[in-house]
Amino acid sequence: MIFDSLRLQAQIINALAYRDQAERIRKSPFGAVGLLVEPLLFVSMFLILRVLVRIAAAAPLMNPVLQLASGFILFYLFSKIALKAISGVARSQRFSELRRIRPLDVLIAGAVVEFQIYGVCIVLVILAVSIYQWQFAVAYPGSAVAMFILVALTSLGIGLSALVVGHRLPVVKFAVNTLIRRLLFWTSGLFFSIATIPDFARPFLLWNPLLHGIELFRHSLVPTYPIPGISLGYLLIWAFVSLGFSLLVYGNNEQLLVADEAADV
Amino acid sequence: MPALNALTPRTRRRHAHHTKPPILVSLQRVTLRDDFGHLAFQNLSFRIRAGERWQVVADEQRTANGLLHCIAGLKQPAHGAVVVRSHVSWPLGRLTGLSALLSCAENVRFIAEVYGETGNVEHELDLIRQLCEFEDKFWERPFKQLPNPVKQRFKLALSLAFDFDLYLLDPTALAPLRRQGVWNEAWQAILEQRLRERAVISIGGDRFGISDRCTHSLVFGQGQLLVKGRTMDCEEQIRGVLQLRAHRRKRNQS
Repeated sequence: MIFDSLRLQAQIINALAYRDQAERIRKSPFGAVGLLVEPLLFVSMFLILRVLVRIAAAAPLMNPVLQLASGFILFYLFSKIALKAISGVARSQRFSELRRIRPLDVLIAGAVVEFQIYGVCIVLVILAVSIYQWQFAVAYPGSAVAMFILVALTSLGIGLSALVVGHRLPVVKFAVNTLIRRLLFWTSGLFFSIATIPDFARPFLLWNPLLHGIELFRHSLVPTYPIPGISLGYLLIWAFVSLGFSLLVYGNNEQLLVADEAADV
Repeated sequence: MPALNALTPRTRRRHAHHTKPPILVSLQRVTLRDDFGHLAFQNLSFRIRAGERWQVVADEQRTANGLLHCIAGLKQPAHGAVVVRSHVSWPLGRLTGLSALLSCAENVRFIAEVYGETGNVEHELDLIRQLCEFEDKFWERPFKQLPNPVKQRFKLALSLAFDFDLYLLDPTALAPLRRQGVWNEAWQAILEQRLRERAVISIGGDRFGISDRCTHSLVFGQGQLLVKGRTMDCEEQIRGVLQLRAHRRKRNQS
């Protein structure tokens, strides 16, 4: 019985993800390529900035393209999944008459699509760098994939928690949408490596789970990349505790969220 | 057990140990308001068991529509709870969750993955193509670009392509099934097949003969439930409400 339900839920999530992707492709003027343009454009823009404002003195810890791309892509993966989760119940209202589809399915399907888009982006960047260097740019592919998945799970957990808590306390939703997103942008190691941060400032940044995810991802590409203070355990705890907590509170509040959202509509 | 024949395979597995026909939907002290804040109905409690056929007779259209939408999940009650324990259809021919950007074929694939029992989408695709009888160019075109009659036929065919435990029926949506007053045979056959032994809630009049086959009735007057039970026991109240409706219609026309 439980496997039957799980199989059905997987089938529904797959259908929703396919539909979401197909709709985005239709909306984009460049089709499927258009989905990859936005994140890759961001990376290219900051790469150009970095080339212009070159830090000549410091020896590079890894390929600058990979360093910047991994930071940006993982950050945008987090941002899109978490922010989409916050508005997920409102988006699921369009399926309200399809009773088999629950708001959680819509949230997970959205996360799956983002995961696919940003996954393809990072693979493209890695392939481009590998071809340029004529050497495969990933030392531990399995570890890189695991970090990517852990960041996605953490994002979903934080987004879902913010959705439920933000429903009770709207200030939390506002804070995640604006303040926390900006704070994370500057403290997640998008432009810097944790090794270049002075010792006294490091503990202030290490609370951020996204920084751990990004630095561990870079470390899995280049094993010599230094990661002082970075812990896989910390990221694992964040991923599973946030996801477990969010599913627990979401399960207890689903009816309330749906009813209030429908009343707002 | 005969009652279990009135269920889709998935619901049948869940209720295999039951001795009475299982409850498909139960409304518990539900109060509903329409979009303008008018009361549709108040404090309504009732249950629908497998195989039962209910007709809703109300003096106000918003009461009947509200009840259908409430069970479908399109409207949330102001008070009370709607507990769904089975596979409930959307109001037949009224599905609004289709993607305007995707083609008919893609929309069918989506609904079939959500509601299909076998996972084999081709069967549903063939059935819908056969029922719709429209040209291939419509099949691959984005849904929003289709003419309205084609959209209506497609929505209706989509509703009839899947098996549900409980069908929500607004007979006015069945209009495309009749051409110049004559029922289309293919549509009628599939409709008969779908509704056979299944539970139904119908909100329309007798124009399409659906209400004639309803064994149970819910009769509303001014948002209050007047009576519920076997149709033969409610005939007096039904007549009263229908007379009131006819009187109002005449007054409005004059």
